[in-house]
Amino acid sequence: MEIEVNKELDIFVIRIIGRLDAVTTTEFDATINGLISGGGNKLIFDMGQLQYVSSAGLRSFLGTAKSLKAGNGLMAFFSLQESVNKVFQMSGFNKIFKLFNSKEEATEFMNA
Amino acid sequence: MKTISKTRLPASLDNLGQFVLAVSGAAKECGFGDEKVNDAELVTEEAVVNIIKHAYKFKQGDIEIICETDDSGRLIVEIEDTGVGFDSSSTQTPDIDADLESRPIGGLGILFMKSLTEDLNYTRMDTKNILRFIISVS
Repeated sequence: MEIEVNKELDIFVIRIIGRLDAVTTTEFDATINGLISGGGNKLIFDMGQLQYVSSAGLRSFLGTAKSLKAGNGLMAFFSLQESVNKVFQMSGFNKIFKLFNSKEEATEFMNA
Repeated sequence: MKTISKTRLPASLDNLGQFVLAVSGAAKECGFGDEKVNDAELVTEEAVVNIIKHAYKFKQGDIEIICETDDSGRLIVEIEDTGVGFDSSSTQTPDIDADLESRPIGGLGILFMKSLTEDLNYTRMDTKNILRFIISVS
């Protein structure tokens, strides 16, 4: 897995590439916790190149959401691949998270 | 019934990739498309991680994964360990309609295992735990 972080004004756009599983979540969590503890409270996840996510990855997303909520932060996702979307649907994560088709839509939600 | 592969390695997250690869390779050999291969990988990861975290919480040991196929082209996977008995197949699944605040962190692995397999069952035989599941091509 690779993570690319770009800051666009006050929003962090985080591209996750590859697989988010029980092994790679350690690196993912460290990166995200670093952003949040550094004051980041608007996170958009670019899922276009994330091919696989397991319950470990979902646990990380849930933990991120709970951390952000504590500081009135926001998070959103865009461009979910079919395999990842299936996992979001199965787990009901599609109902608790904001999912968008494009970065523009996700950014609009953040700035609303 | 034809055996496709047998993979035995120490139960460690370092070997997760190899366990998953063994099952995805078998799924491809069964002629599964991308979606079903992904299902097989997901169920395998959840099962292996459960074994590492629960069955081998206080001791070390191996995990063996046996992949077979039958005349219908189904993938039959047996995951064996000699850790503490832990029937993940009978664990309760979380409420997927719960909101963010009340959503527990955990339990989703079991949900995926139950949702994506047929005949998920657990047997304790002497000192061995055997988790068996079937994934069909359709």
